[in-house]
Amino acid sequence: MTLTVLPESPMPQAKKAESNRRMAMIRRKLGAVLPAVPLIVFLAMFLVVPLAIIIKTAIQDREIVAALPATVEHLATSGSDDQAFALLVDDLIIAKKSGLLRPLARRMEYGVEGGSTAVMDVARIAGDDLIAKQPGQIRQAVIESNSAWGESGVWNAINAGSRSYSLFYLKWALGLDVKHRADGQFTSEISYNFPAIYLRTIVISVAVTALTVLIGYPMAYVVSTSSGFVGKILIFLVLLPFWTSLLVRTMSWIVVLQRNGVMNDLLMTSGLISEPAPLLYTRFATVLAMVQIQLPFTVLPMISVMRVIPPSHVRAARSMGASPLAAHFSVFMPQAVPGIAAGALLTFVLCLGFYLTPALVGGPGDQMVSFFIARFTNEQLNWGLASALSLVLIGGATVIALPLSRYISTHSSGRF
Amino acid sequence: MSTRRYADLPLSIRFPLYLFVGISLALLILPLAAALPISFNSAPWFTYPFPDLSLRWFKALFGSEIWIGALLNSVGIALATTFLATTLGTLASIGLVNSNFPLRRFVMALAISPMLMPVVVLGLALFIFYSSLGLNYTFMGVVIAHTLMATPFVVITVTATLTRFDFTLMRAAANLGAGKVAAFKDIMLPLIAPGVGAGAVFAFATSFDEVVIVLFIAGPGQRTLPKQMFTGLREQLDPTIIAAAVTMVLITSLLMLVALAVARKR
Repeated sequence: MTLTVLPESPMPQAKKAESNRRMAMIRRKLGAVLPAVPLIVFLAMFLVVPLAIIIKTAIQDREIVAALPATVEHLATSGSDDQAFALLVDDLIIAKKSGLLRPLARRMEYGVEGGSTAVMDVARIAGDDLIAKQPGQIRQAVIESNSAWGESGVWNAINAGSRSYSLFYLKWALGLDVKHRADGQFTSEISYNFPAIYLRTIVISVAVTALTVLIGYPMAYVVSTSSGFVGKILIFLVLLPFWTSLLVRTMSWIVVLQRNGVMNDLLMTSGLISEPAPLLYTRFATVLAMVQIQLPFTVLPMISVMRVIPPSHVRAARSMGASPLAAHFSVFMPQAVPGIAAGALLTFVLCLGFYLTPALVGGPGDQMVSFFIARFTNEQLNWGLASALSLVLIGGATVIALPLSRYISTHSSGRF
Repeated sequence: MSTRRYADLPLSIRFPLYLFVGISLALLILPLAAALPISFNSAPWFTYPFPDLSLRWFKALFGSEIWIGALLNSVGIALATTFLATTLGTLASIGLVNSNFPLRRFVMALAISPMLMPVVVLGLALFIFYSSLGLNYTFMGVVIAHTLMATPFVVITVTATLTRFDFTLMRAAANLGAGKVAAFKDIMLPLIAPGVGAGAVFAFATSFDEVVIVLFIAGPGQRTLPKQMFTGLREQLDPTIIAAAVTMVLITSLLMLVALAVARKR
């Protein structure tokens, strides 16, 4: 056996050096990425994939087509004729056995008033003796079991659910009309007024953000311009609640605000009120607790920006005759804007997703989007709607946050 | 009169300003200062003054199997979370401070994003994902979820520490014949240990504190202290819950103090 040694391909010197350089660069990049690989894989698996599944769940709509495949196929080419009724009964007999009936009934109720009952009524009479009958007789029996089958609403809903993916839940979450009456008209009955819930979420978040900025700005100013021991104490007072458990802080508001709590006790002994005021489970309690919880998040970015504003700027303005307030508002405050904006943005975005505090100290009229996501997941098992609401929440927060964060980063001149 | 400080506001502005800031700071601290001592009240009332001081609510807390079980669950989950989050986060930070890292800003944003994501959305996403993996109502499932929430804190603190780390030391170690792992273990880790320690404390506190995700994905076997508190707060507030809150605060602040002491020693 002869060993042939191939001569090294004649490569021009420059080309070889270029290739070496490229190899070295790739090696350097790999070396940098390597330690981060475990986290990237972890995030891809447990953050990116679950969020993708939320998107899929929001647009997935397969209960109807899964339970009524033959009926759906028939409806695609013709209307709700005698044949459709016979196929419906056929499909329902199979659905009863395969466990698809309950999901179907639930999904039909989302789309039609009385949809669940309509499905269950037919399922009850569906059996071998019914299929043996003439199509016309089947039709009569089905309509006798539930008169809704004689109208267009239920059939339209089945036809609309003929695809595995639809915008049904997203439309529902956006507050568009999705529910029909048996006669096929959109119903005026609203089970959840989502636009009102979004508006409430935004109103509460804006109110909390505005209050934290109004309270936080002077606080940040005083903290950032104090030095030495006083400065340390002040920053400690800001950080202390920041590091205390969110749940503990919410609990302390319940203790303070409840009917026989500290606040009512104080108000009554001071003679301001004669009987305990309902403070807990109100909008007031929600906003107050949220402001207290968010205040450190608003103040800390402000402090970090204010600390590096040179005092000489204000001094210069003063020496040129500006009044203290004029110097503050025309020289100091404009330079603090990136910090104010960052603190406000962070607070606003976090407020949009608040769940715990409103759930514990707010009334039924103070619950925000997050509360309904939790409710549809845990109590009503309507994952499609919960996912659609999640998409609206994340989408809304991103739409608001992106341009603002760009504004902050372009106006912060590298201070962050 | 000596030097005149132009930056100073006149007293007529400073006085109301300080008053306002004082009241605001009181708003931050007072609810805690008012609520937590009630755990020492001998009576089940939520007002002052107390008829007598007593430890009866702490006795009730530590005498209850449910509360003790919840506390132990919380500690176990938090320890596992701390280990996972600190390992993943520290390693990732070492990569992320390297200027050769491609798409550095994007990966950083991804690593931080669980902090800004509404917790309920994260809970729902994990709940649906877990239901196909069989991870719902398991210890591992809760630890993974908590790690997801805790890693950003580790990444932020360790990255901040690493930006002050002198990377020529690593090259010096390599020159002296140390392998990459040895250089990391003997040179880098001891120097960035305060940052890693602080990150670990944040990770522990994040997990120890977390309740919303647990409500979604944890079963009765993973009843944590916050979950038990949440249930109690929704049903009937009793001073045992405040005693539990005091215990929570004590454990986390002890950890913070340890972290501070370690950081100072260095």
